[in-house]
Amino acid sequence: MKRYHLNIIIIPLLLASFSCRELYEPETDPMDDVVIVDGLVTDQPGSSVIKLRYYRRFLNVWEHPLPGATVHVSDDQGNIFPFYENNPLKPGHYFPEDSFAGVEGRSYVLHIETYTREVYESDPQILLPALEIDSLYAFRTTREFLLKDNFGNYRRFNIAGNEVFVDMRSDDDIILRYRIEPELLLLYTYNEFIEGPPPSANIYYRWKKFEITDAVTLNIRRFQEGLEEVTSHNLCFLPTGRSYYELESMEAIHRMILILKYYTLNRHGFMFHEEVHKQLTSGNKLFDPVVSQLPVSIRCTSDPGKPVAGFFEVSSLRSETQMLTDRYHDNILEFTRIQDIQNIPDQGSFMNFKPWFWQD
Amino acid sequence: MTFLFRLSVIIFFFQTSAAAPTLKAQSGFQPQYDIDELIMVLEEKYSTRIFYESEWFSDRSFSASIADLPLEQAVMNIISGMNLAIIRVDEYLVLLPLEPLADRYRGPDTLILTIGDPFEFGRYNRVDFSGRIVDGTTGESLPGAVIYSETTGTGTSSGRDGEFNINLPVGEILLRLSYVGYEDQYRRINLLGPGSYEFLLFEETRRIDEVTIMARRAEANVSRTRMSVISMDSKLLKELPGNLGEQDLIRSMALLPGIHNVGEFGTGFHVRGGSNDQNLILLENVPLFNPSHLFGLISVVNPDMVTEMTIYKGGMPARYGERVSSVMDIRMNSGNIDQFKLTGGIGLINSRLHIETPLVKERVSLSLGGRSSYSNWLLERIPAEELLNSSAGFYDLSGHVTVSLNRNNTISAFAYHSADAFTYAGETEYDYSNTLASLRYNSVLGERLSFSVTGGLSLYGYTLAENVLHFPRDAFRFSSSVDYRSLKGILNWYPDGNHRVELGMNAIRYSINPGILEPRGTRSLISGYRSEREKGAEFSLFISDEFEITDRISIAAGLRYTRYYNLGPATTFIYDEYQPRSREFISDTLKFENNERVAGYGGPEPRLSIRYQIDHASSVKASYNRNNQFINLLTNTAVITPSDTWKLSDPHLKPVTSDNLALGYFRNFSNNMIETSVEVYFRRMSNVPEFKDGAEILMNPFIETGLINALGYSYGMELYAAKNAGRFNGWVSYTFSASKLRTDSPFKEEQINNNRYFPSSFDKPHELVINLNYNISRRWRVAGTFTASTGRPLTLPEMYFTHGDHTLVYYSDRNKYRLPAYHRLDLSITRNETLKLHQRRKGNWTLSLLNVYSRKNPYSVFYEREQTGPITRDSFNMYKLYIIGRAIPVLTYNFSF
Repeated sequence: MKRYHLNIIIIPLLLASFSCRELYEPETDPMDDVVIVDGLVTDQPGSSVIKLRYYRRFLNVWEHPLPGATVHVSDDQGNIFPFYENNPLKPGHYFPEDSFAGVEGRSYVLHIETYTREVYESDPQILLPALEIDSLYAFRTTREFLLKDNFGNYRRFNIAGNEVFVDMRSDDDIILRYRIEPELLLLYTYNEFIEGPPPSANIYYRWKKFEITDAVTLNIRRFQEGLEEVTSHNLCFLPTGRSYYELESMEAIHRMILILKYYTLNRHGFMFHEEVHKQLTSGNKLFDPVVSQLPVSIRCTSDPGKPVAGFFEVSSLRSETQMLTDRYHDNILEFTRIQDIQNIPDQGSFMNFKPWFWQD
Repeated sequence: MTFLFRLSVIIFFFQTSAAAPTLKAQSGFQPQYDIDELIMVLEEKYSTRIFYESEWFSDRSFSASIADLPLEQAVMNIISGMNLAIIRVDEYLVLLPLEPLADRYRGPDTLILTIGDPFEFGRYNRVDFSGRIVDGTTGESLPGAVIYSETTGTGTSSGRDGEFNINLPVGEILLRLSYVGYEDQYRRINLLGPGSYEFLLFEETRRIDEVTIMARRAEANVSRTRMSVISMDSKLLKELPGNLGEQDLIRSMALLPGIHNVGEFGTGFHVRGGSNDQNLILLENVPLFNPSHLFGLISVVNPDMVTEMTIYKGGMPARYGERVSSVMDIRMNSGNIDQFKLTGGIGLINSRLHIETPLVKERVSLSLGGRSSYSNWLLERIPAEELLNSSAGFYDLSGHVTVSLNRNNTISAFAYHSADAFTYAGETEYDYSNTLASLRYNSVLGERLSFSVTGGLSLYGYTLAENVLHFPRDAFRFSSSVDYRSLKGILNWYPDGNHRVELGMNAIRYSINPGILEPRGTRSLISGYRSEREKGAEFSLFISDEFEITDRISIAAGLRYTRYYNLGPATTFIYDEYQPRSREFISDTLKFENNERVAGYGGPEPRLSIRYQIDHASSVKASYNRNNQFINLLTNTAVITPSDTWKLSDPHLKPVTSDNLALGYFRNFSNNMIETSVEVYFRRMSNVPEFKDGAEILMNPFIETGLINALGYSYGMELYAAKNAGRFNGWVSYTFSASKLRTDSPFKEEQINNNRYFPSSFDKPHELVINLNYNISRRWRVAGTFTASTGRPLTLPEMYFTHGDHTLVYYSDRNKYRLPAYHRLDLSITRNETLKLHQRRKGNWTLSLLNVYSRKNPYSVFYEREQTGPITRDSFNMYKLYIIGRAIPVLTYNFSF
């Protein structure tokens, strides 16, 4: 759904005749050695991670991993869970014990001590009970995009595709705060014809995964007393044309599968992701964009004036894998839930036999 | 073009010429000139201008030797034997038929007017002399006209209906009457007892079409009690620098000290660090909620319709309230009771037409004006793909009918409507409109009393709709509106010649529809939603008096008492007071019935202005005023956007209060030819609505969770120097100012910049304006305007960092940085088609060159995502937008019949 308040995109069109724009790179105060925290604790084992980086301009690279820190998470029961930098291929990534999982109703605090003896601590973050997906469905439609053409100029393109919606369910009359990370698994085929004698053919069963960054969906049910409201939340748009997935002419799309991870957010988490969402959608406005300063839940206790970027999120996590079907019902294209598809390469190809996750 | 006769005018009548025989004797030996040739020689020789009508001399020729005589002697020779007079105006000479002067230019020693009953002569030492000052042509009252006793050195000014009351000693008194844009008039009166008289003043344009302009009565800036006031009549307003070739009242105001706008585009203006919505713009006593066409490109007030504009930056009279920053009171043309008049203009963006006509001769007049754009025509010629299927247009209409019931009673009705409509790429439709109406009754109850009652209505609304064809499932229609109704009564009482008492009341009813969202078409998936309507009522009583304590000290003191009630039906959320205001912490929900009181605020608003006259050319003034504001425009961007929403004060959004102090020194030079002033001011504000970062405005039933009541102050110094008359005139102004805000909350989420003071979005420390005009000849005039100011504050990204799959922005403290400095030069040249007095059709062409040196002044900074495909997204880049990025020539034609 297009946001109805994007009307400020509208400009006095007349101005276009003599107005113009230029890339703007103002000089701002240097922000060296700012620690960037990307922390997540969930109620699912193996999904919690604390990623630490620091910001310093060096050889045109601004972000660098922050290794060698001492990291742990404590809960309101007095338990302490250390996180370790145990993957040499991922410096600055800190993982807990494999068995670690957050517990619903508990609050967690992140503690960091860098190798330079700077100490950081987060606000307490409560882990809320998980929400469930009520339904997932799509409409066939077109959406307009402003994209670069072959000459590098922006042009409007009408693209056919499926507009995907999700409804969330909660048994209690509570405010729904969640975010969804959808990932598209595209199954496609390639038919190779080999001239004989005798002529033969090979069928390639291929797949490719896409992170649908456009689908950061944060919705809050409108607060209305005594009115149970189910709102269609626009999750993402899936183009039907093969070119948008960089497929070749002989390749044909077979199935679209959405791998959904959805997180139930607490108030602080919601506020952070709400501001992230606003930042990501604040473009293309000729008036000053609404400044969406990200809330800071982490502070440097050893140097209180020092800025810290990022967020420590504590959320319940659920995941589902849903396949887009060809079935129509009341003009709605249905999804069907399938078994989880995890730990597969981002793309691949099997010749003449189907991979285990292939869907007919 | 018009001019103002001034104190320095020397009027003398010419009966005959002693030099005539000499001329005749020489004429046979010299080449002969016709009148135009001779005058040209004289003008060049003496570097002056001489105004005359060629046809008066059509059958005469003149000896070239006349040019060798001293100027005045030469001119006397020219008019020898003719029934003409010479008037000197500054360095100019004006030749006029003698007969009209007999009526209107009597010298101080001609015609003595007797006031009072001769049988009461000797009974009084001092008496009250009252009356009205009106336009001699149209019969319109002239508020603010000055009646000054040259004999006693005392004076007063007329009230809103042109009425005056002055206490004078009995005996012979020489009065001077003056009014902006009108010829000064001297009248000698023999005051025997109390009495009244109606004085007629005439516009200068009836006499001469092309001389020069004076901004206001010569010494008004020094002698009047109030400070921080700018008053202009229609003539002067038309002399202000234009905007895109169009006369633009509101945007021109931004060139004056202490007033500025966001940039080359943007709604409204800011006064002394206040926000846009803190200015009350009154059209015939009714507020205008959106003063801009085309989202701020030009203002909605048709300049042809305006007869007078007064803006109070401070020291506001008690009769004004409602907003905390300034009042702009615009008086619209009420028509001509005597003759038909047509004026108009053709410009880059729009054309306009204005008709004045009597409906019943000398009783009922009508003024009707309108403008319409042709921007669609332009849009079709812009080769930009995103403008395909786009349209933009506007129109405005206004009408004013005045009925003179009798000499003392008039009724006037005013109506106004403006509308703007946009379609962007055939997708999004946007329109907004203002509708205003007022009905006014004026009555003069006697020599000491007059009153007026005004009923007003102002409706503002906007609609945003998504086209059903392109996005059937997203199609929606959103609308929002403001309904304002008022009743205002003012009683003017003149207990004696020294006091001007004004008593009044004002009742206002507000009704705001914050928003209605409706699905559009049968396939739309939009959920309809209707925000709760807001209602409020504001009541005010006010009293003021303006008087002189001594010859040097005068005071204008007033008190306004205001009560405001937020009324039901309403749903109010009660938040946990120990938590930041958030949906999470709603502790209770209260429902209020229709017209039930939800919240109430108010209090006294004292007003005080003091003037100490140092001498005839200089004075010191001070003023203080407190104002309350119960309606705010909610915006979370520095630049006002079309979809910003008006909101009434409620239990959470408290009224904005401001205390304003100002001190000024005013000094005129060269017999009031040059006017200078220095004003310093300080303003303290409380409960200024500031938004939390990223707060949502539209359709937010919890809007208070995104608002913070901030504290603020502003201060500044305004320097102004103007040369108001002469061939070369103009002004230079410089303003130094600061405008700061801060939050005061214990909760981190409700703090901006950790509760430290930060510059408001309207903070512009330095602003310089130079506006110069030079009359090359009677036909040609060149003008130039140079403006320069500090760039406005801006919140910028200080760091980009990766979080999850996204590149995010770490913003600076709010308004930590600034846009680059703004500066721009505009030039124009104007040619008048005809200078003949009796020519009915008059016209002029103006060629303007805007932004002469193609300065790219950034108007705003915005972001654009670098989107490489429909399902992926990269980071976004930051851009500066220029509204006028290069030099633009504009040709405008204005005419009148």
